[in-house]
Amino acid sequence: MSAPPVRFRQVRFSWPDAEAPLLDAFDLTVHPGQVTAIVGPSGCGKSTLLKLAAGLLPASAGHIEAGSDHPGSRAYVFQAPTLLPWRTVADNVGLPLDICSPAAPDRTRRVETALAQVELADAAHKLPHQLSGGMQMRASLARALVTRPTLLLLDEPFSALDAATRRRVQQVFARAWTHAGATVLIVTHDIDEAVLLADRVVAVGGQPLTVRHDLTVPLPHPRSPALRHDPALGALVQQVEAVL
Amino acid sequence: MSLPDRLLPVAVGVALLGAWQGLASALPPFLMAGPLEVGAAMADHAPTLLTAAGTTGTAALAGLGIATLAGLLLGALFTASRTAERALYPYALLVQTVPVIAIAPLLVVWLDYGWWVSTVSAAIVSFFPLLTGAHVGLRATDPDQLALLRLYGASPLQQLRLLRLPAALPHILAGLRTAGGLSVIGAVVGDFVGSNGQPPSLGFVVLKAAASADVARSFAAVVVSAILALALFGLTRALEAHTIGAWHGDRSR
Amino acid sequence: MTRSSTVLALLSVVALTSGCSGNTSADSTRIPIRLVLNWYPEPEFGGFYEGVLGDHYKDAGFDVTIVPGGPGAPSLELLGSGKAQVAITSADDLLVKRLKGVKALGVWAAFQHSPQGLMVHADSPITDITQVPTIENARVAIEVGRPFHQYLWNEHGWEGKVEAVPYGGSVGPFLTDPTTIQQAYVTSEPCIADAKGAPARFLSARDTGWNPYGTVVAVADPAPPWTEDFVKATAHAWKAYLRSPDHANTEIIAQNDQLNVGLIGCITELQRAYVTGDDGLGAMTKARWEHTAANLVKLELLPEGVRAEGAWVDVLEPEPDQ
Repeated sequence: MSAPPVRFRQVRFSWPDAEAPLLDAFDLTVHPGQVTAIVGPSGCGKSTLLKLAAGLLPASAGHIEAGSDHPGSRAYVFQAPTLLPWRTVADNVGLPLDICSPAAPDRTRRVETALAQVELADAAHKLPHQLSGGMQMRASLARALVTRPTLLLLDEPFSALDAATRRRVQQVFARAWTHAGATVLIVTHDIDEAVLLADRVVAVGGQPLTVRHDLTVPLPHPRSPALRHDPALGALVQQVEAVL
Repeated sequence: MSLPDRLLPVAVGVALLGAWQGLASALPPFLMAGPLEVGAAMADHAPTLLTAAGTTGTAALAGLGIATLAGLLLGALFTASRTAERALYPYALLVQTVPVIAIAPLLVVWLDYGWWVSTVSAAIVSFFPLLTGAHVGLRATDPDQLALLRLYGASPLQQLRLLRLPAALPHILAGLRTAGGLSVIGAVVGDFVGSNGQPPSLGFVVLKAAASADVARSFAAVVVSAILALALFGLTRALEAHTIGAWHGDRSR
Repeated sequence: MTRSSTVLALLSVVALTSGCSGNTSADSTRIPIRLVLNWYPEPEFGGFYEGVLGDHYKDAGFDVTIVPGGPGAPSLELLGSGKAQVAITSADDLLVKRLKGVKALGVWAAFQHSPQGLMVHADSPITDITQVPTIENARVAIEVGRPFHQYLWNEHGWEGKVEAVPYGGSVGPFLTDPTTIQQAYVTSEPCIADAKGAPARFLSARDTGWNPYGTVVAVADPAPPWTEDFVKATAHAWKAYLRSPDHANTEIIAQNDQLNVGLIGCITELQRAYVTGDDGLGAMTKARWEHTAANLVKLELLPEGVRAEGAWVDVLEPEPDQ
């Protein structure tokens, strides 16, 4: 299966106790195979967009297209690593396979591949509490990749990490999802990070949520960390900041 | 821990024993027996006390087992069905408030002398902490972890097996820890009424010795009961360590 | 068939059928009896232990297992629910429990006189139980709420004159306080107190008019067909026990390690006067039963008009004392 687009068409969504809707006639198209970052102020509802795309929340009106419903074709990386503390890293990574295809003969190989992609092969038999924050996030990503998803949804995956760890983990993620060739939708409040990682940065805000700015990042992949200091990147960041 | 730190509880223990002996010497023998007397009584009646500990201990363990099963089943039912929970929870609560010593004579009539009265008694007393542990534990699932499972299309049974049950284990085992000590109390209370001494049980020895003003023997049986409760407590701790110790508990990183 | 062969055939049939009612040691069809006591194993049940140890029951075709009880032992209830075939009880308990639906029948009374009473120190000025209310600030340790307590306070006018304190089941306080008056069973506390260095005087309840039969043998109502045989064997065993109690007493000591040879000797001697009476070992009279029932009615433990009729049956003719 090839990477699908994600489309929000006239989507309406309210939280049960809210007076005004969070989303009202919201439109957004995420292009297939691209890495799209959604940025915006904290609490504006960016994570909600992601949950709607994942099918974890129901829209009250409108239409959401987000790839197939086939279990495993969509993967989600939470803000917290969300690893099951009683399972080893390898077993955590294999959890989606245990649910969707319990008797899969290539389970071990798939887990090993996923771990290799995030450079966690040595930690396979460790328990989550024995890993650092960065390693746990990498394990969480490996778990997301193990079913070879065509759509990858990430909710502020690096916000809990310290600066140095964040940079290293970003590198790992970027390599991994490029390799996977999936459509990637990542939500973040860090504009530098968004511009560094994504092909397109969509800035949202307001009540109800609307798209404030839509920016294409013309920088080529792979993006080296040194780009952080590149003035071209700085200019792009400023564009987005001006809007928010 | 330095040597003085380790010796601290020992020192307190010695001081307490000394105070106890002093108090016992000052009071008439039918009111209190000192540690030396109690120790002598334990040695003199060791075979009976050991047999009695076996009887009461078996009843406590069996009662604990019954209570665990009942608590888990009911806890799972309550998690699965809010209707069942609303309908049955008040009665589960009632079990806890039943004063076991009041219904024990009835139990003897229904179940006859022997081991069953103490077992049922122990089960009644241990039930509620286990139900609470299961009930709270099965509900304490991390919502993100649950979302993760739902994302991959996990069935309710898969959710129970892969997530809810393992996540509930710490709560269930905490309930077991509480229930362990209680079960011995329940068994001894059951002994008071439901045991006729054949075979001897700890509650029987306590009561009978007290009736003959044999305070030392009565205390000896009480001490053995306490040791039994500690042993059960230790057992539940070992179970905890074995099942969830690897991933749960105090950890200084 | 010739006449002689007919006679022979008839004789053989008689011989065979009469052989069936007898018993040989190879006979495995002895009637199993669970006999539940209403207290700890003590000399007050000596005859039953003798019955087992001396093969009295075995010879009569019974396989008896004695199940000890203790405080609050529900012997009648166990009989009523079929978990026991014979229950030991007291006459007052029997009458009250029958009203609660326990189908039990009293068939033999080991204690012609109730072993209940009070106990004072040997050097106490009180020599008769009726003197207790005349003492100033009299205090009695007793099982509050039981029929004996209610009888003394409500029927015998002790209310207001004597203070009742709960009896904890231990002779401890008696040992240290020479003014203590406490409830006692002649088969227990006085000898224990003596042995522990505080000689006691027993004041029998019968001097107040409270004298239900004690250690009553009860079976299910209607009485099973083996009742008469069982009572006969029981009487036989008790006679043997009264003649030589040592065998049974050794077994009782083995089962109740609060007793020892000295203590049990004291109890066995003291209880003789209560086991034997004017009517004969095991006897029960209508007058005595109705008197107990009337007392219970006065205490409102039995409704007005209830009589002891039907609660007991004299299975044997009473035998003269040995």
